[in-house]
Amino acid sequence: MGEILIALIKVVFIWVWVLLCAVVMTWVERRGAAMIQDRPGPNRAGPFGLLQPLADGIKLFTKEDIVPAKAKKILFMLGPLLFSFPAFSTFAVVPFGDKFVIDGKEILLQVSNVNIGFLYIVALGSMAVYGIILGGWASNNKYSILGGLRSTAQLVSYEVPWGLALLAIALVYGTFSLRDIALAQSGTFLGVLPNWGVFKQPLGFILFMVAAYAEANRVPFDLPEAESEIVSGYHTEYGSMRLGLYLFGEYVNIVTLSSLITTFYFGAWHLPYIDMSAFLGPISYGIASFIVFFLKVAFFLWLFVWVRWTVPRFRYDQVMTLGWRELIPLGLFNIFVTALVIQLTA
Amino acid sequence: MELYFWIFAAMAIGAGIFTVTARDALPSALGLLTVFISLASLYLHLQAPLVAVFQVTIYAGAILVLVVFVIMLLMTPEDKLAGEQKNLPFRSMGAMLGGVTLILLALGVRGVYCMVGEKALSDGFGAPKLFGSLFFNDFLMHFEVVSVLLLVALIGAVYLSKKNF
Amino acid sequence: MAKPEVQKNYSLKDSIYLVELLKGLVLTWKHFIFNIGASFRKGPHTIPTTWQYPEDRRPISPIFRGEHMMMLDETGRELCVGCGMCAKVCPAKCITVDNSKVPEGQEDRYAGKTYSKNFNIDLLRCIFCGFCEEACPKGAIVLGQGYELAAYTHEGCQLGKDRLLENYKKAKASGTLKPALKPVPVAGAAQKAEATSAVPEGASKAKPEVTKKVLKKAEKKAGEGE
Repeated sequence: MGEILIALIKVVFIWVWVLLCAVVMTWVERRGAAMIQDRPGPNRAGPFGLLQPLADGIKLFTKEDIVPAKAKKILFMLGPLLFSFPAFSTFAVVPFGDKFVIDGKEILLQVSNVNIGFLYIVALGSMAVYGIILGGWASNNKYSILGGLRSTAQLVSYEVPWGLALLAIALVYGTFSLRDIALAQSGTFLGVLPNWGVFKQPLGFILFMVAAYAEANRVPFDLPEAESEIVSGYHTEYGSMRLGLYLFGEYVNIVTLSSLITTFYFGAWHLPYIDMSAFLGPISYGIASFIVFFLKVAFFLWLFVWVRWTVPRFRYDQVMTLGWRELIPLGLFNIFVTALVIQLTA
Repeated sequence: MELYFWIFAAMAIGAGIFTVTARDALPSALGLLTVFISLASLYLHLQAPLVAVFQVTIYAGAILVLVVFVIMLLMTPEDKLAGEQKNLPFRSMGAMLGGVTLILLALGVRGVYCMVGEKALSDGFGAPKLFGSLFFNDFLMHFEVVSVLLLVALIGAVYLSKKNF
Repeated sequence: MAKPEVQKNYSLKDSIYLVELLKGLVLTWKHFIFNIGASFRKGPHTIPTTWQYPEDRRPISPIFRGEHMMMLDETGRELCVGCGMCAKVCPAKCITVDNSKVPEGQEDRYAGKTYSKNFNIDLLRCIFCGFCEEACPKGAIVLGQGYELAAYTHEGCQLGKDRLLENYKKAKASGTLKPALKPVPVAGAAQKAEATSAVPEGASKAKPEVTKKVLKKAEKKAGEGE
């Protein structure tokens, strides 16, 4: 019974944390974009516009919910739900801190430590496509169908470099479990560099980052929802809370991907050269590890926003060329070199 | 926990019947998605999380996505599939064959159960390590044959889609 | 203009794109830091390019065509005689005028012998063209400088006479009345008028041809009619 209660608390905590992150991300996006573009951004709703997400939420809740007459009703309503669900579920395996030790009992800061670790994430990533397909097709609108098609093709194409980068990680750490990968990133190697994934797999890191941006439908892979070209693509016909679910699901997706980048390549909760468990008590160590993890995730969230307002979006054929003809050979090359290095140094 | 099995088995069968009897193409594909997910849950129940993940990733996440992709490309939401087909002889023959197949499957499963019985599962059952060692030690030739099959499919796809110069 | 040169051969550094990406990120970071610093400074116009609306307002040209107002003359009498010229010329048909004779005791309120009993401008139809201002023979209706005209109800967008007069009082108090449209007579204008009234000969010759054409057409039509 105690186990179930603890698991429930962890689930609620993760859920609330992800929701808060996504909500604050809307503010960060708007304000950060404005600061980069030499304009103030939202500054009326509370100091520095901090209450703007609240205002946005109220607006989305109270708008009229319109379903186009010729759209397929059930599929139309199913789209946003299928889109948000994998984004949240991925957090079940992400380790967001090390562990608490309370009364001699270890409580891992991870909802479930399955041994298939990141294969679960790959599976959920491939399920995320359905929300977009359904949303785009069921709207019965040529821009939506175009946007849905493009997004589907892009997501499916970039799953391959994603998987290849993760394969290289599995080669290096010898395990699928996310917690073991995070644990293996403590200490240093070559004497100077921290034992983080980005130093062991620089090419894999770049591949994973690019594939993550493509999976999140964020600039520069923004074409499926390019406002200036296809009138916001697959969520053209959605209003009020359904659009809210789509936009929100997108931000949750970004939080998920940032957490994954942190876990695989940046030593999930480890500080570079300091071992925190040496001088902190068990409970404060758990909290400190969560805070370090959160700061790293926050940096990658900011990076998503920063890149969005720096880079122009890629043309669709450029996206496909990059995914199939450049990233996949690079991914295979990465695996080859990794295997070679492991074989020669083992 | 037999209840778990009954729920997901019922879901799989119900979704399967929905798949073959749906009126529109995309709901039918979504029924197939439900079948795959129920099967994945059943694999989880059988202590094979790796197979469950493969089922979702490959079947539901790649093959079915391509099927839905084709449906999206070729149909608008207002298209109805072709009208009723007058092929009662074919349908009744199909039903008979389907029934006979089911009976054979049931007999086969019963037979396997009698042979295997209720053995205890080995320790690392379903873990990726065991999977990997089985693939590369005991079933290596099967693995290589499947990869040759995939290579053939890849070459065929490239050939079919290249431009004629 | 010659065709601009487009670089077609990309060096390795360019085609990898990461270096360019990092340069771009550095540039946007500089903008970001500058603007963050700017947002903490006090006072208006903190970030250089955006004017904060309720506090900063843009200067309006003196001949801006905004909200209407009804003019009073120097002695405080209403100039409007209710002739309805503005209603006739309005392209959007938003003005309604009712006209009646000035009753006995109110000579000092109205400048003319008749006045407009009901005068209504529907702001939701008005296109702010200024034709009413040009058509008015008394210079009674003038488009002023008000542009914040939003209201919550239909009735809130109807300019009755009371609102029009109030607009005039507000404009007079804030000194934003514009000069009258009618030209001010200049000394020596009478001589100029004589000089221009002698029509040049070419113009008078052109006219009879036109009337001839019209006569011919009229004859044709009469012929067909029979």
